[in-house]
Formats: sequence, C-alpha cells, structure tokens
Amino acid sequence: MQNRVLYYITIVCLAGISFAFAFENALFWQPSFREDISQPLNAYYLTGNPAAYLYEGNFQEIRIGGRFDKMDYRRRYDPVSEQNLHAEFFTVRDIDNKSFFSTGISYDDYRKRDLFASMEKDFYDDYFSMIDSTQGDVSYYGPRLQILYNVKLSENVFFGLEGNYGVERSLKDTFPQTITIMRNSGYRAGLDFRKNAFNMGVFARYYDDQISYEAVKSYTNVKSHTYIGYNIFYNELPGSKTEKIRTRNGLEYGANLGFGKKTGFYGDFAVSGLHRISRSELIRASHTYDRGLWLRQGLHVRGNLNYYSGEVAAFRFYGELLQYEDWAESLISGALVIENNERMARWGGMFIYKPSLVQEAYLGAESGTVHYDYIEYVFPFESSRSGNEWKLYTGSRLYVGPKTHFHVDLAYAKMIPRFYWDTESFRDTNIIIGLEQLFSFGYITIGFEYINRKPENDVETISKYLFGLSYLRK
Amino acid sequence: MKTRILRLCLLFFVLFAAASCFLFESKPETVDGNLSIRLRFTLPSDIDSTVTEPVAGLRVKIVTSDYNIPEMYGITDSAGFVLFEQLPYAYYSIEAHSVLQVSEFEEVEVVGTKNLNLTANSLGTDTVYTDTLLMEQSKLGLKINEIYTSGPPNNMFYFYDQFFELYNGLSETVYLDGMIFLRLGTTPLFSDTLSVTYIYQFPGTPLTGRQYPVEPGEFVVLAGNAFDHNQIGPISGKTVDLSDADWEFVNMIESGGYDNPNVPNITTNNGRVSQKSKVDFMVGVTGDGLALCDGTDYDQTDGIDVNTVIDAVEYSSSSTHTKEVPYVLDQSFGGIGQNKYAGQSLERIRPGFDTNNSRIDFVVINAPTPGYHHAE
Repeated sequence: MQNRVLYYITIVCLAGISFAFAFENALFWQPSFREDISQPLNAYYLTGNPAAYLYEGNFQEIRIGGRFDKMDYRRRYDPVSEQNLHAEFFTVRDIDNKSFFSTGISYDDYRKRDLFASMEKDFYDDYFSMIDSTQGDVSYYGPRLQILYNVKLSENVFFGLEGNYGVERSLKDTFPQTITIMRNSGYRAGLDFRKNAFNMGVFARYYDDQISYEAVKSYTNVKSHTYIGYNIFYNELPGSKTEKIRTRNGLEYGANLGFGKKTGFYGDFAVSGLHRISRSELIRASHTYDRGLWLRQGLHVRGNLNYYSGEVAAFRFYGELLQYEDWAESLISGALVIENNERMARWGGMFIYKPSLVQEAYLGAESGTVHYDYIEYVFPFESSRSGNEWKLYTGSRLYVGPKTHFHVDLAYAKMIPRFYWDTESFRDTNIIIGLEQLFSFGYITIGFEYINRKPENDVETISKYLFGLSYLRK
Repeated sequence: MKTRILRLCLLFFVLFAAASCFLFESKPETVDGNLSIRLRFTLPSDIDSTVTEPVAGLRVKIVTSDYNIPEMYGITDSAGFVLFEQLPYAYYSIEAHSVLQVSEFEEVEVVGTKNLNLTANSLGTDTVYTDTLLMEQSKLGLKINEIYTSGPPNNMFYFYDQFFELYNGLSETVYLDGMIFLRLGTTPLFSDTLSVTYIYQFPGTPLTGRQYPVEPGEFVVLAGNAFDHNQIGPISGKTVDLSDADWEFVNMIESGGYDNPNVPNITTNNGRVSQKSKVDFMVGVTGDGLALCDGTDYDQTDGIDVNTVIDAVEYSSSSTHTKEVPYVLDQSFGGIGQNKYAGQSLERIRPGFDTNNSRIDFVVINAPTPGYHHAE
C-alpha cells in the first residue's frame, strides 16, 4: 500500500507539471494505462468520474516542479523554448464515514521565449487563431482551484462532484503588447454503483473556457490576421487595439462498467460522448465582429482487463478508441470553411513481475492506428494522413532501503503527428527516475523526467526536462 | 434515499439539457471556396451607342485584400465572358482595361471596373455571381496620383514627411496656375459644394495662367515640408528626401514654419484664399479627403463648387469608415488596410488611372515613390 501511494505521488508530481500546460479543460479524459501497476486500474483512472474516486485516507501534499522544453524542432508559431514553474497544495479529507472531499490550489508561471507572431497561447489549438507581426517573450501566470466531493448515498451508490476554476494572465512585452486573460471552469458530476464484483457508473462534465487577447500598439497600429484553418488568413484592419474573445464550451457524458475484484480478473470499460463548441469574436473600436465558430463531436471508448493472481505475475490488457469530427463556419462569409475527421485507436498489454514485496518490474507494448482527414475550403487544401503508432516500455520499482523507494521507467515510441508538423512521424524517448523517502514527518519524493522527440526528417529535436519535488503528510 | 437519487438524476438531466442549448449549432449548407464570378464585358457600339458589343480577348484582373490569396487573371471569350471559379466569399475589386485603336492616329483607353462584396448570406444558395460591365473611356487628366500621409516607421508619431503627387495623363500640357488644393471636411454625399478644412493655392491666374506647366506624363511632388526627412536621426534611411520637391505648402501666418527657399510655395492666408488654422498643410495619417480644383471658385465660406474639381480622392484604412466625399467625385475610398507609421503609401495602380472609384484606382504600397510610379 505504501509503495503504491509513493509511486502515485511521483507520477502525480510530474503529471501536475505536464498538466499545467493544459490549463484549459481538455476535450477528453486521457487515461494512463501505465499508472498504478500494483493493482487493477479503477474506474476513476479511466473516466474521471468523481463518484468512482476511492478514499484511501486523509493526506496533505505540497508539490513543486518545473519543466523546460527546448524546441529546436518547431512549427512556425511555436516558441524557441518553454519554461513552467508549478506549485500546488493538495489535500484529501473525510467529512464523516460517508463522505470526503479533496481540494487543490495551484499556481503556474509559464514562459515562452521568442514566440513568433502568434497572439495565442497555442496557435494550433484553434481554427481561428490570430497573429500579428512580432516576435517576443510571453509570460503566463495564475492560480487554479479544484475541489472534489464524494458521498455515499446508500450502501452501494456513490455520488461525486468535482469543480475547477482558474484565472491566468499573460503579457507579451513587445510591440504590439499582447495581454491575455483566461478564465476557465469545469464541472464534473457522477454516480457510481458498486456491489461485490460489479460496478457501474454514469458521469457528465461541462466546461467553459473564456480567453480574451488584447493587442495594443503604443504608437503605431496593430496589424493582425485571423487564420481560418492553418493556411489562409483574413486580413484584419489595422487599429490601435485589437481584441479577440474566444469562448469554448464543452460537454462530456458517459458511462462506465466494471467487474471483478482486486485479485483474479478485473475489467473496467467506459464510453463517453464529446461535444465542444468554440466561438471567436474580434473587438475593434468597441464594435464586435464575429469571426468563426467550430464544433467538435466525438466518441471515446476505453477499457482495460487485468489479471492479478496475488502471486508473482500479473497481466493488464487495455484499449482505447477516440474518434471525432469537426466543422467550422466562417462568420465573415457565413459559409462552411473547415471539415476535419480524426480517429485514434490503441491497444496494448503489460506483464508485471513481482518476485518479492520489495521488487517489482513491468514490460509492456502497445500499438495503434491514427487517421487524420483535414479539409480547408476557403482556398482548397486537403490533408489525409494515417499510420501505425507503437510504444515499448518497461520499468522497475524497488526498495533500496527500509524507507527508500526507487523507480525507473523507460519508453520508446513512434508517433504520427498532424500535417502541420511537417514530418511523417516522431520517435519519442522517455526516461523517468524517482526516489521516495519516508521520514518521521512524512514522505519526500523527488522525480526527474526526460523526453526527447525526434522527427523522422530532421536532425533537430524537441527536448523536455521535468523535475518535481513533493512532500506528503498522512 | 431513492427519492434523493431520483432528484439528483433529475437535476443532472435539467442541467445537461440547459447546457446543451448553448452547445449546438447547425452546420452551414454553403461551402466556402465554391464561388464563381461570371462577368461579361461590353462596349457601346461604334454604329449605335444604345447597343453594346462584347469585348473579346480582354485581360481581367480580380483581386481581394481580405485573404492572403494572389490576384487572379482571366481572358474574355468571343462573347465577352470571363469566369473565375473556386473563389472564397470576399470583397473583390475587378478591373480590366484595354487600349482601342479608334482611328489611324488615335487610341483610347477603356476601363471596366467594379467592387463586389460577396458573402454566403448575400448570394443565398446560388454560388455563381453574374454581371455585365459596360466599359467606359478612361478619365485621363491631371490626377492626384500618390498620397503619402501615414508616416515612416517610427515610435515618435512622426508624420511630417507627407507629400502628394500629381500626374498629367493627358497628351497635352496643363497649367497649375491658380489651382487650389483642399483638405476636405465632411460633405453631404449628394452635395454640389465641398466642405473645406484647409485650402492652399498655387500662384498665378486660374484657367488662363501659363506660368506653371505640367508636361504630359510628368509627375509633380507637393511636399508638406520640402527637406530631407532622413536628416532626422531616428527615421534616417526610413523616409523620403523632399528637398527637391516641386512645390511646398506654406501657411503665411504660421510663425516659424519651415520654408525651403529653393522650392516654390503653395500658400494659404495669402490674401486670396484663407483658413482659420495657423498650421501647415497636414492631413489625416490613414483617412481623409483631398481635392484639386481649378481655382475659379476659391471662396470656401459657402463651400467649393464640385464642378471646379479636377480630381478628388477619399482614403481610409477602415472598411467601415463613413464616406465623407460626394459620390460624384469618388464612389468609394481607397487605402483600406493601410497601416500608420509603417512607411506605407497610397498610389494609383497605373499612373493617372482613374475610374472615380478609389478602392479600385489606388493600391497600398510599402514605400513612398515621390516623382515616379511604384511599377517603374
């Protein structure tokens, strides 16, 4: 149990830093099937259903971490490098014998160096992104609050509610100066029915992200362009100030079904529908001009089947299918401008070997297919790309002392990116090293992660370095 | 307990339904990039002017400044038709010109132009826009050919290097004597007189004076301040040398105003034309109206008669600008998208090219060209 909690802390410690980049609410819950190898993954890992969150005692945790990305290989509107500093306080506490809550507050300081022209935090995340003509450093900073409440309604029925709210500001201190204010909130609710070797749940999520970009030029005009897709842009009129408002609202609804116990066969499966709408408006001289809206609808199916015998060996098989379609309407012309269809499927297996209580190792492989079908209509452009992805990974955890736990994880993968990466595939190398120490006052964990992403047609790479430090008190 | 669960489920359902209302939109039926523009170019018949004839073999240019797509060209067929396909919905300027041999010793330039604002909403389900353009003889004459007002690249609000360029597109010499150059105020769009902000006059007698000739094909530069603006440190190498300008604006009651002794003056408050402002001739950096008049009506108190106007131009960087110059002088305005303090200038697409539609006639160029044309 202690082993599992400590490993979880390290992963969360690093994951917290990674997640800071996705300050906005993600389209879908991305399960990590490599997590928690000591026992089968439960429905919360798979779905984020707050009713399925398992209470395992009170604790408080402080996490700090950093991430540095060196992007020698980059796209036109990517920065040269990125840096993120992250601090978080997280706690889980019971209210009575039927309910508990968890809260978290985090603060991020995220910097992008030499960001060319883009006024957006992530130019490639929107079909109606805006650019100007400058290159400069951007600093994003702000807090985020999270709260989760879980209550046992009856002997077998659990109800969970989760919310998050974050505010982030940024400044691109160049001409024009670009000020960004983001307000994001997300709400998740679910019901979970658990009885003996069976569980079933339903859940829903609604999120609302609002971003305001305001470009101000102090002596001359802001000359901005609104991209419609990734190839054609609309020339905005110059003005002393240009403001863009992007509103994104999303909905996820789904169900999960599980069977089995912690020993023997255990399976969990989930399906959810995804729906998101994104609107862009331009404000110039107190007038609002609609620029575009796009709608994404999809389906996310995932599941895992585990066999934990309680002996030295265990197996985990998993699979995931994500499929969605987009269409975008230009509100300048009132016509359909973009259609996009993406499908990603992966499946894998993992062998876990546990020769003793202080040693554990795993070896896994996964394979998958991706298919991207993207069409722009304003000035005809079409990209269709598909291929196979794979990943090999291994890792080990062992106690190097009575209170010291060490783990290492390695992975090597092939990834097929979307067309705007200008390469057919990436090769990812990933190393994670962690050390956990139990003291009389709590657990101290340190972790380090290195990711190298190499495109197939270039010698330049993307290097990511992450480090994390956490203190946990139970 | 069951009631509690039921209520919770009901609450979920209501919230879900309420949220869904904001999240659904219907997919548009019209697809962008499918627009076709089919135009027919015609000319009045030589035999009967009430009858039109198709113009075959005419090179037609279609351009939009809305998107980063290149300008397109087409050639009319024997029936005078030209078709442009797979276009996005946008604001287009269409322009075609041709030189016709009317006799052994005479040629005339004919032009056909039009501005089109085409959106899916304006066309409905039809994806083909069809129109007939009657070509007219080009309005040759003395024209305001270039307007440089937006300032060089700088961060100190420097725009004092403004100049205006005239061009004589006629085959005979014209004379500037007594002509007046106006910065226009807001004028009712169907008015017979022009509202004036600044009024400056060339020396000499209007119409009959013969002291200040402009030869056919000659450019004339009218400088706000006729000196080398590159001598100013922060903008050195980024602006224009106007020390050799042909004319310089001078307000006779401006105290300490710059006056290059080697450049003749266009003056105000000179005992003939007067204005209240004591400053030099300066116009809006990215929006204003200008007129060159023959000078027979120089009393601005009751407005300047539009019939005395030789050429007038309205410009604005904003497409939503409210028009201020009567339609009879300029059907639209040029300079949309012009950026201030970026060294951009506004010039006719060809020297002296004039259809009384500045949105078609003018193009924003990236650097001023005093005394010559950007295409040279």
